[in-house]
Amino acid sequence: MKKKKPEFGLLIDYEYCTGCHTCELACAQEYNHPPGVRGIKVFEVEQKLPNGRLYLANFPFPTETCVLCPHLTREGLEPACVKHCMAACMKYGRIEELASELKKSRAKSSGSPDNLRLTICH
Amino acid sequence: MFDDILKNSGMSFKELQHKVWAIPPEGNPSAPYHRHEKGLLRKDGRPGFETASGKVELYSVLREEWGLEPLPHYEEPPFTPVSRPDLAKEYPLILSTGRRSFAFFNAEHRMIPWLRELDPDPTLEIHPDTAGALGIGNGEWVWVENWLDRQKFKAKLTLAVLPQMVVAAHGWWFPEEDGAEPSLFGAWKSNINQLIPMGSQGKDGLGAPIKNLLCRVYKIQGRDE
Repeated sequence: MKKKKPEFGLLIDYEYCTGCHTCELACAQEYNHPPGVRGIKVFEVEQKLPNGRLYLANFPFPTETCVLCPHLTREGLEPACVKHCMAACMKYGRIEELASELKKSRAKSSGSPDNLRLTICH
Repeated sequence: MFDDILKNSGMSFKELQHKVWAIPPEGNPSAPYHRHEKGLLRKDGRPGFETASGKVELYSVLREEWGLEPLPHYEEPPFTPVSRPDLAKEYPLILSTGRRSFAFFNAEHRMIPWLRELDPDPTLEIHPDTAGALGIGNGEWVWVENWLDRQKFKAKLTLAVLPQMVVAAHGWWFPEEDGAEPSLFGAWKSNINQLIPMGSQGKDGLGAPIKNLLCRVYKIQGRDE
C-alpha cells in the first residue's frame, strides 16, 4: 500500500521558545500518555561560540508519537501543543502554507534566519 | 465562583477554558495602566505615588525616619570570598540557590508524575571546568557541604553558571519515600536550606544569604553513603 503524502505540519519558531515545557504536558494530558512518552519534547541546546559567547536555545521536537491531533484539527481546533504554547511559537497548517510563511519570516528577519523549523508529521 | 473572579475580564470561566490564556484588551479594568496619573494609587486620591512626596522616591524619607539607609546602596553579603576569606579557603565555591524550576513551584508538584519527569532530581548546576577539576561527571551525585551541613545533589554540567559558582535546586522532597518521621518524604536528604545560616539578614530584615553562600562540592563515594 502506498503511503499517503503528508499534508500538514508544524512551523516552530524556536527563537521564542522559553523552555517552559507546557507543550509536553499538554500533549501528555491530551493522550493520557504515561510518564516517559511524549508527542513533543523540548531539548536544551547549549554551546560555546568562538567569540567567547554562550549560545542557549530551547528546541521543541515532535517525536514519533506525534499524530498532529487529528481529533482536534477535524473540529477546527489546534493541536494540543500549539494551543497551549504561551510563547505562541508554534503554528499548525498545510505544509505549503507553512512553507510560504517560513519564506516570509526569513525575508523579514535580519539576524538569525535559521531559527525557524518546519516539521512535517505524517 | 470562577465566573465571579473573572468578572472584570468580561470572560466566563467556560470561555477562558476554551481560550486557555488571554491578554486583557487595552483599556480593560483588569489592567489599569498609568494609575499614578489618575490618582488611583494614593489614599487621598491625588495623582502621584503613595510616598510622602508623591514622587518615585529614590531617596526614601520613610527609610530615613526608620533609621535605615535612605538611598539604594551595596553591602557586601556576610559569607563571600570578600567578606570571609578565611571560610573561602575551606569552602571555595560560591553557592547560590532559589532559582525556579520550570516544572515546580518551590516545594510543590513533586508528586505529579508528568511534572516530576520534566525535572526528576535535585540538581546542582556546575561549570564543566569546575566539575572536571573535581572529577565530577554530568549526572553524578555529589555532596554540597559547608560549615553547617552537607546535602546530596545531582551534578548538572552547564556553561550557564560561572566557574567559581554552583547553583543548587531548592524545595526538594520525594513522594516515593517514607512519609513518616524521621524521613518525612526524604525532606532532609537534598535540602539546601540546611546550609543556610539563620539571623544574617540585612538591617531592614530582608536579604537572607540564599544567593551568596560558600560551599565545597565532592563526589559521593559508594552507593550507601
